[in-house]
This record gives sequence, structure tokens and C-alpha cells, in this order.
Amino acid sequence: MNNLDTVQQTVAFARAAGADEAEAYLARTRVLTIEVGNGEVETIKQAEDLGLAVRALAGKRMGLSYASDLDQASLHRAAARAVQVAEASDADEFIGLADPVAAPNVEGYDPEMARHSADEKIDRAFAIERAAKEYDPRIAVTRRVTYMERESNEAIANSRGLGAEQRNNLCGGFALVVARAAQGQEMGSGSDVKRRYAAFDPQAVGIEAAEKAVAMLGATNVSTQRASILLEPKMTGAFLGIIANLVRADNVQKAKSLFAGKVGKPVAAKGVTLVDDGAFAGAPGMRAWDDEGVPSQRTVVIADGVLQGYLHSTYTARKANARSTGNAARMSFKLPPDAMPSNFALRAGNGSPDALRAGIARGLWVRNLMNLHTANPISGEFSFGANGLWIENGKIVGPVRGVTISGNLTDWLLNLRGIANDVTWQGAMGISVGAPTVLIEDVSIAGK
Amino acid sequence: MSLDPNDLVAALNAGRAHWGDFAEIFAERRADTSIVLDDGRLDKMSAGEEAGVGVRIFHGRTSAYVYTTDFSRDAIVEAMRLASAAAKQRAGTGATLVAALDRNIAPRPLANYRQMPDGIPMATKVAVVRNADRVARAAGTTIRQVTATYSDYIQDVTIVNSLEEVAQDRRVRTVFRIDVVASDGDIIQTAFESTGGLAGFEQVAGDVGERLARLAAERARRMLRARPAPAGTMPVVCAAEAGGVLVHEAMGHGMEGDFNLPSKPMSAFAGKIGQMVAHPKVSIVDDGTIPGLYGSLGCDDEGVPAQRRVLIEDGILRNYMHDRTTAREMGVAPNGSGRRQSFRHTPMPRMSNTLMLAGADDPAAIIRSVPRGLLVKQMGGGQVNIVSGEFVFKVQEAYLIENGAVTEPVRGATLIGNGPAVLKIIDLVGNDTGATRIGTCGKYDQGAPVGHGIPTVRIPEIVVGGIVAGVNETIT
Repeated sequence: MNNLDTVQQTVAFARAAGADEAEAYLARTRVLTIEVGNGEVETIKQAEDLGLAVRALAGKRMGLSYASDLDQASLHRAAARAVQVAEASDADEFIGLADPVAAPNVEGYDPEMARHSADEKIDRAFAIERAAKEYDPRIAVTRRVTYMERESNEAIANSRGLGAEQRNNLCGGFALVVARAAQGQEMGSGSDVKRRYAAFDPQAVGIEAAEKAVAMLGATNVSTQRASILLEPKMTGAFLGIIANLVRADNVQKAKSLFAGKVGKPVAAKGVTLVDDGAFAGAPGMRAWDDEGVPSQRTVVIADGVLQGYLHSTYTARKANARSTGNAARMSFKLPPDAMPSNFALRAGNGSPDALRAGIARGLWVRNLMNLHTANPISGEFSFGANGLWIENGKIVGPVRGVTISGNLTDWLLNLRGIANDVTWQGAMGISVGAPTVLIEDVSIAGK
Repeated sequence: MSLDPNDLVAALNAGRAHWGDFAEIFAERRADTSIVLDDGRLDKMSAGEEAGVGVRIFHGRTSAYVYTTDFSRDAIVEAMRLASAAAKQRAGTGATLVAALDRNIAPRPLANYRQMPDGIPMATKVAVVRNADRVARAAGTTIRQVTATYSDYIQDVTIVNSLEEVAQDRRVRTVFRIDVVASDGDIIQTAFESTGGLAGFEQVAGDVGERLARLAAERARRMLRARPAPAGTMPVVCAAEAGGVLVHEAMGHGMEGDFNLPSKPMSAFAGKIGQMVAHPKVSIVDDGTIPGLYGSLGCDDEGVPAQRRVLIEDGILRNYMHDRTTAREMGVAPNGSGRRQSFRHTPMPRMSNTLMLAGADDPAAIIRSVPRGLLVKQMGGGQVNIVSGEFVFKVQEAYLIENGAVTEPVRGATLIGNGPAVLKIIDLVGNDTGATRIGTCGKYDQGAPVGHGIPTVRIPEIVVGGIVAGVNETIT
């Protein structure tokens, strides 16, 4: 049976088990991970994984269950379980499933990935390691040097007549390296993910890791002060991953967002434009439809500093008397979808990152942040460990670590004073973000 | 979906041609229930089961891992064939890096779970979150939002390998967590409490949820009148109830075997077994055998029985935490640290319950010893850079210490320091036993349930990241 037949059959099983409405979602995922070290293959991981989720409505109550195999008994059991869970849940008039709408044509699958041999992919992993080691003789250790590919085949159907399939794949690499010198040892990491086999550059990942580690050798501390921070694109992206929580409609509706009630009001510096676009070509999260089967769309969240709206799933949209923006996402097939960003990007500015740096009187060029997961998107407070390069009068003075940068996310957006033109896509905090180098003024830096 | 060791041994034997230098089958079945009450209503409810098999084959130093959700003997043999072919195509030249377990260690009997969650009606589990929500909201009009989460799972694993080792374990974990948002109109503060254990429904039965709801609500309200934490270097006292994120991040990770391999030394603790790495008052263990604790297990995910590992004894580094491959490279027996998130993941050295042992100092005297500093009453999440030793963790609840007395609450503090350096300067260790708090430890792409705790300790000097006062102070 093909994937679409399987989900349609599961919907029928749920209806037969007493569901008033039902939805089934199936994801088959093929993974390949190659990890090398010291010129040898350490681990090759390959698998085909599958998960099927059923959501059942009993009146206005919803429950979810799932299965990890597709034999008829498992599908029946998951369908019946979803109905039972729904019956134990609370009624909510806004609960509902997506209506069938045609999805955009998205080229999410690159057939090249399947055409190349495993041997060639192993060489991609070795190329990452070689590039790191050749970058500088002080690169002493490499760890977790990995090339990976992931292909997903998804199908969804619901009792409103929705039925869709999509196929996506991506590839990427990761490296962790240690640079060692008389002053001590420092770690650097590199990573990239691409939607086209040919677009991935293993050398760039190795060099990124090595350059970051070497640049930190001899790092010292700075005194406690307020100063500027320049965030490299990956660090800006990390912040965007947290700020994304403020524009999730579920958080807004539960009074867990500082952006509640702020549509039409300035929430960021002029020039700041944030866009979510599920179908954005080449972005890591590019897809035709979201995890409820709603077509991907482009949603402007902040335009020139002014909040335009929020990101919706079917449920939050019904509650807000709006339309879903195609932002439903399942963290796992075992959990119900939430309203989450898809490809979330800060629009590029005009200048180069070097030009931004040249204008800094005193500040930290942040190249690594620690403890991102402890940011509090509800209060907006954050305090991260930071390291990077100290800048005075536009010039790099030397590496700094052991400091924290602290503040509030709302101030972060309002104090954005410069946006460079180097937008880079990456995965951050479980979503796909596109971010350039940015400059923020007047940030708390705690040190010695 | 058989986890019967006989079936798995039969499958292993049927694939004997593909064993390479070492072959292992990890089979898992797991049933989860998850209930989230948010915004006053049951927001997300799910329950289900999944199962899968992971096959690992070594050729020399090279391993391949293949997993499948198909439990048939044919599927398992096919996975072994695929893994063997993958490992062989670029097999390294070195010796196989897999150690046998020390047969002198007797496997512990499977834990005795008093109230298996699959025998508890959904309505009883729902009542836990509803009661907690009610109690938290009753704490005051400043309580603006409450999220109460209940989850449980039953995980059965069977591990068989070509060393003729067979192990089985049943891990039942039950967790409750409450998150509270308080606001007085200007300031928003959040607080949480959680409990979890290698335990059945008894972990949260009775008024556990309500008690934690009250604590969290009170803390959120208290933090509303807290000023932003000071920034800069100062003495910090961590109270015994604060939890052990400090030992987990600043010390524990650096003692995981994979960061200390002679071929790839990364940690500041590499090559230092037998050396003084901490103040003589400091002793740290990682203990997976304590009944009921969240990080405990019968055996690890390579089938090695859980153990109590002494990491630091009176300041001297004694052991690392090993899985089979790191143990082999270091020439020691694996000590029960090989954990994996699920059948989809390969094992690596992980902590279980990491605890700093009680010392001899009077906790009240420790606080009195500080002229001006910070008292940490509850820690939040943390992270460490293994290579530089730098660690950082969030503080959920803290107070100023002024002239040896605890004064006003402060919010938003973060501690940042160097693990090996902090270990050496911790100079007062309380004679009290810390509360064991729970967390999900993330390493690379895998999560693992862990516990951690410390007695009251004094760190004479550490950077407190807070808000630096300035002319443009705009803290909301």
C-alpha cells in the first residue's frame, strides 16, 4: 500500500472507532550519517524510520496516538487509542482540521543525493576533516566530523477530504575541532546544511571549525561594562530562533508573548523586516505544506519595525478568526502540532559585515553563545555565555571568553543598529532561520 | 514485536555471517503518555507505543548502525548485512574498540515499580495537572498563566551481542512539571518546579503536584519584587536545594570517557586520573543504582549493569564514565555509562545521577562567611565547553548575601566560570545532603534523563552575569 492509501485507511479506521473527524500523518524518513576521525570511518548510520500519527476528534475534543509500524492491527490500535484520548480531553470550540487547499509546487527533492555512492559521501566527511587539519598546524583533535543526509516522504489525509504527499531531502556536515597551543586549548565548530547535493561544500565546514578554534587561542576576560555586540550570522540566527516564540500565535493566545496586542505597533528598530516563508527556495525548512497539510506561504511578521501579525496553525487561526499561515509543526510524530516558524528570516541590510565592524568604538564580536536554551521568551530575559573577538575603534584587539551578555529580547530588537548583507541559512532551535551579521548597541557584558 | 532474548539471540545467530568483530542488537519497546494542561484547559494529550531494533556491527575500529521498526528475523538479519557491508567498505585498521563487561558485576534485578502507569486511568493522570493548575492559580491575582505537564513512559529494552551477553531492563519514568507566569503589569516573571523518577505513578501521587504548584507560584510572585541581579565577579553560595547543574555541567561532562581518550584528548581532565583536580573537600560520584532516582537504570543501553562511579574522591580524579568503546581504548571495564536516547541512536558515555557528597561545614556558617555575594536557591539549565572548561548556568532563584545575611531576592542571574578552576577553589562544602533535581541532558543530538545534587557549597569567586547598570536602563 502506498503512503497516501495508508493514511486514508487510518482515517477510516478512526471514523469507524467513533471519531467524528480524523487526520492521519505519516512520515518515512531515510537517514545516512557518516562520522570520521583521524582519517578513519568511525560510524556509519543508515536507516529507514517511520512514524504514523492519528488525531481524532470526539465532538470538540481532540486526542493523538501513533504507531511505528504499519500493520493493520497497529493502525487500528492507534486509531482507537486516539479516540480514547480525545474522550478524556477538554472540549474547545476552536479545535478542527485543515480544509483541502492546493499546495504550491516546491522542488524539495534533489535526486542527485540518491545518485552518488556511499563511498563518495564518505569522502565528503574526510574532506571536512582534512580541511580543518590543513587550516592550521595547531588543530590537534577533530571530533564528530560528520556528513549527513536525510530524506523524508510524508503523507497526510483527513476526513475533510484533504490528501497530500511530499518528498524532501537535504544534506549537511558538522565538525568539532580543538586547537592547542602554549596558551591552552579552544574548541570550534562548523556546520552547514543544503537542499542540493552540489551546493554543499565540505571544505567550508572544516575551515569554519578550525578558524573559530584558532581565533580563540589566548582568550582573556574583559571587565564588566555596557558595550556593543556584533553578532555573526549564526549567532543572529540563534536569537531569531528565540524571538520566533514571540510571534507564535499559540504563545500570543496564552498570554506567553510580549508581542500580544502589539500588531500595528513598533516592536523593532526601523529597517527590521522579519519574514516566514515555508516555500523559500533552498532554505533548510523548504516544504510544500505544513504538518497539518496547509500550503506553505510567505508571511511578513515585522515590516520596517512594525508588527504585522502572528504565525498560525489551524487551531490558533480558528481561535483568532484568521487563516492558518501554514505554520503547524510536529516536534515528533508522537506529539500534536504547534504553531512554529518554518523558514524564518531577517531581511538583509545593505552594508558588509566588515563595514559594520569598522564602526564599533568598543564591543564584542560574538562568535559563540552558550546556554541559548535558557532564554525566557515569556519575560524576554536572556543571559548567555559568550565568546568572540574584542573590538576597539573598529579593530580586532584579541579573543575574549568567560563573559555573559544579558538583556531583554524586546530591547534586542529595538536596539538593532546595523544589519549587514550576509544572510546565511541554518537550523537553530529546531527551526530553519536565515540571518545576517547585526550590530546591537548598549548591551550588558559581565566579566571580571 | 518480540523483546524475548531468545528470539533476538536466534536473529543474532542467523546473521552470524555478518558479525564482523562485534555485533549487537538493541531492541526497544516504549509506551508514552503525555498530558499538557495550558491556559486552563487540556491543551495536548497523546498516548501511544513505538518499537524498534538497532543493529551495530564493528569491523576493526569502524562501526555501522542500522535501525528498523521491523522486528522480523529477516529484517534484523538484513540490518546486520547492511551494517556489516557499510562498516567493511572503509574499515579502519585498528583493533575493535568494544570491551566486554566485567562479569563480576551482577546485574541488578529489574526495578520494582509500585504503580505501573499503564494501570492508572487517564482521568487519574489528568487530575494531577488539573489540581496543580487550580492550586497555582489560587496563589494570587498576579498569577497570569499556568502550564502543568504530566508524562510517563514504560521502556523495555533487550540487548544481545556476539560476546554472548544478554541483558534486559525495564525503565518506567514518571514526570510532573509546572510552569507559572506571574505579572504585576510591568514585570513578567516565570518559575517552575518538577519531579521525576525511575518510578511509576507513585512519583506524583497524592498532593505532590499541588505542593510543587504552590512552590512555583510563590517563587514567581517573589521574583516580581526582585531587582535584576548584579553583574561582576563575587562569591557565590549554592544551597543544598539548588540542584546540581553545577556538578553536571562544570565537572561531570568533562569526565565522560569520550572526551578523555588518549587518541583524542579534549577535556581538561584528560590524562589526570590519580591527580588532584579539586579542593580536597570535594568528592563527586555518578550513581545509576540509587532506587527511584530519575537518572537510574538497571543496565545501560549496551547491557552493562548500572554502577556507582567515584569520579572525584577527596579532590583526586578517580574514574571517567565509560561506554564499551571508550573503556576498551582506555583498557578498563565499561562502567555502565553507555546510554542512547532510543533505538534510533548509537550509545555514548553519559551521566546518570551526578552528586557531590556532603562535607563537614555548617551550611549556616557558609552563608555567614560571605560579606557580599549571591545565594543560589535554585539552578536552571546549563551548558559547558568541554575543551576550554567554560561552563554557564542559569539561576532560577537567588538572593543577595550582605554582611553574612541573606537579604533581598534578585532575578535573571547567570553564573559563568571555568569548571576545572572552580573545582579547585570551592572551599566550603556543607554537611547537608542536596535535593536531587532532574533534567534532560543534551549531548550532541541525544537527550538523556539525569539527576543531580550538591550540598551547600561556597565558590569564593565567580562571574555573575546580570544586568550592568547604565544610563539607558530599560529592563521590562
